[in-house]
Parts: sequence; C-alpha cells; structure tokens
Amino acid sequence: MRSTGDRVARIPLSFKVAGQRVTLMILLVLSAAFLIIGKANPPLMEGLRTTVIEGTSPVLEVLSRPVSALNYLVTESRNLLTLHEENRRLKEENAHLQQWQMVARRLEQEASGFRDLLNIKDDPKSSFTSARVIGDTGGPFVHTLLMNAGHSDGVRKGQAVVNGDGLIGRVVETGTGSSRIILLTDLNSRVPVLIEKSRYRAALTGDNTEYPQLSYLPLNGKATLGDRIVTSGHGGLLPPGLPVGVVRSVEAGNVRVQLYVDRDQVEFVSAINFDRFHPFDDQPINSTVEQTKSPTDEKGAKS
Amino acid sequence: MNEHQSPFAIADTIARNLLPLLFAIGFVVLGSLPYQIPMLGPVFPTMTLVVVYFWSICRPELLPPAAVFLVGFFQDVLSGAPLGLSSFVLLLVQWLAVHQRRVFIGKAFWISWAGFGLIAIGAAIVSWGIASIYHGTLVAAGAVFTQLLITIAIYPAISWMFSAAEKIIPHHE
Repeated sequence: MRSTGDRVARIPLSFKVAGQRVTLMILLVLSAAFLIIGKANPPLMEGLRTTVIEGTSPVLEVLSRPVSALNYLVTESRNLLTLHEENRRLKEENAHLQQWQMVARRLEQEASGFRDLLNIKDDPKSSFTSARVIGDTGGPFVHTLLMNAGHSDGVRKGQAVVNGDGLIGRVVETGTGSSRIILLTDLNSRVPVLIEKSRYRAALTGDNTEYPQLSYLPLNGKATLGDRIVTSGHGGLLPPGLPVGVVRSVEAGNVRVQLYVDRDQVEFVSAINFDRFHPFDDQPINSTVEQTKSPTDEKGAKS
Repeated sequence: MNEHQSPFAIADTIARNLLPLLFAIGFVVLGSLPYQIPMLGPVFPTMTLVVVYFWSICRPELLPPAAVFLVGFFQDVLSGAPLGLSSFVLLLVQWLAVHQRRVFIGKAFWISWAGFGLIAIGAAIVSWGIASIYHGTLVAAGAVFTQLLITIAIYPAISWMFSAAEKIIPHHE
C-alpha cells in the first residue's frame, strides 16, 4: 500500500541506513577501546564513572525509598505471622545470652587487667559514616552496592563497610555524595582474615559465587566446619576482629565461607574510618569526620 | 504537512519518539534498585537486551546506534561492570537484529521469541567471554545462565508492553 511512499523514500532511507551502519561500526570500536582503556588505566574510567553516578544517585535515592517501604511492609506482615514462635525463641536466646554476658564481663575485666600489666598499645580509634544503600546494581559479573555517602561525608576508598551482622565489603569508588561498595563475594575482593579459634591467617577471596573462598591458608592450617572467620587487620586497612562469616564447606583444600551479612537484607551500612595511614590517600585520615572535611584533605584525596 | 503543528503537538511527537530510549534508561535504573529479594541482584534480567532487540526489529529508526551505545554505557556505569562491555554487546545485538529483521517482521510471535532466545544466548556467551578476558580468569557462569533464562522468560511480557507502546508512536513517512 505504501509502495509509492517507499519508492520516494528509498534513496534517502538507504543513505541513512548506510550512515547508521558506519556509526554502529565506529561505536563498536569505541566500546572495545573503552574496555581496553579501562583495563590499562582504571583511574581514567573511574573518574567518568563517578561523575555519572553522582548525577544518577539522587534519582536512585528517591526510587529506593518506596522499594524499601514495600520491603518493610512485606517483612512486617511476615513477622506478624511468626510473632509467637519468635517470642519464644527470643526468650530462650535471652536466657542464654545473659549467661554469656556474665562471662563476657568477667573476661573484659581480666583482659583490661592484663592490658594494664603489659602496657599494651591500644588499637587506633575508629569512627564511622552510616548511609543508606541506594543501589544493588545487578549483573552476574560484578557484586557491588551503591550508598548515599561519599567523600564529603568522610568516606574514603578502601574503608571497610559493615552493618550489624558483620563485614559487607570495602569502598572502591567515592564521589562527593555517593560511593560504591565492592562486596566480599565479588571476583576482585581480597580481604585479610583469620580463623578466630586457631588464629591461622588467610585471604578471603571472592569469585562471584555466593560463598567466597579462603585462600593462602598455611599448609599446616586447618579449617573445620563452623569455624568463625574475622578480619585480621593485616595491611592496616581494615580494623581487626570484624565478624565475616563461618566456614561452610571444606573440600580438598577448598574452604568456602558462609558470610554473616545477607546481601539482600542490607539497607543501612557504615563505612569505618580506621585511624591509620591510608594507602590510597595522600595523608592519614583524621579520626573525626569534621576534620576530614577540611579543604586541604579534600584536595589531597581528589588528586 | 508539519508546518501548522502547535508547539505542544511537536513536543508530544518528540516525547513519543523518545519512548524506546526512555524505556531503556528506565529499565537500567529500575534494575539498579535494592529490592532486597533473595538472590535477585546477580540474576536481574537484562532488560536492555529486550529493548534493543524489540525496537531494532520493529522500528530501528527509533533507537539509533548512538542511543544503544549510551544505554550500554549507562548500564555499565551503574552496575560497575567493565565500561564498554554492555555497549559492545548491545551494539552487536542491534546489528544482528537489524540485519535479520525481515525474518521476524510480520511473523508469528514465537518466531521472534525464538530469535530473541538465540540472540540472548549469543549475548550471554559474548559478555561472559569479554568479562573473563577482562578479569583474566574464567568468571563463574552460574549467574549468567540463570539471568539468561529469566531474560528469555520475561520477553513475552515486555514485548507485549512494547507492542502497545509502538502503536502510539507516529510513523515517519
């Protein structure tokens, strides 16, 4: 029916199609170039990334609120159904924990006594910045979260990110008001940890599966099911003793860890400002957020 | 014939023509929200694949390569994936779909669904390959496979929605 129209439009249309084909080829090459540049010079691409995310984070922040409200509703209604059962369980747990509290108090006294006797150097103080998770950026290749606090709030690259359950990951990119957290399960995540009971050191290595692996365990180091894994503090980047998870499986030297933090339940997180010299910054981070906001520090960290 | 249109009508036409791009950007943002649904994060369907495939077959002029590139770029920025990965794969999908559109156009629905399935499998393999080369190791493929299945399964619903939207976009002739 439209044959006359087609005939009239054929010349410019084919011209346009040819033009589009060339554009497509150029853009394909450009994408490949982006991949190569990103691999060769990550900081260059990181700057670009941070700028775009800064622009998008207000939108994500607004949209993440109804989502979290909905989640709240679902969780609350589910809780209502199991209220009785939960109450009974908590009473039992409470009785159990009270016994533990007595033990803990006694041990605390003992430990502080020993510390005084030995005149041991205290771990540096740490402060933290808490923020809301505004993005769980999907995809099978990277495991990251976005949070709505950035450089201006005292968040720095490399800081440990935790919630009430334990360690979540580390800060990998910071913008002015938003940051990206790399989860422990991500392919690029390496965290120095130790087996709490036996004190064997290892690296917790993510591989994009649900359960990260314990690698670089010493040859005589053994892990048994249910062993608690905590951060070791080696490298000085993460505070020692943060709970990470428990050993889930041990198969022919392949030790997998079940993390304490459930990625899907994370709503608020805290980035720990550990008071040590920071390898990614030009100068040590001060212990309070107010101090980190000074203009010299801003300049130092941006460079 | 367009000379006597009111500014409102022109804005309306532009907005309708921008629909495919807005769909793509909207899906990228929606895919980045924290849903707190167990295991959803890594396997959230690649909606942009559906957007690019559908519009490349149905109305290629509405989603030019530059728009596809931008959508892929935006997706990589938000997800933290290697920059250029999604753009590359989506442009490949567009190139294939535009080339083969005569096979699908005006045919039964299941043919275009099957076509999408094949292209989605190809796209998953290519992205997995690029990610593996980029990271210098074989990336775990379990999540890629699950994501692929979910994406193929969701195609009918999304394409039905797009078909409805397509009717309100004026033809350039």
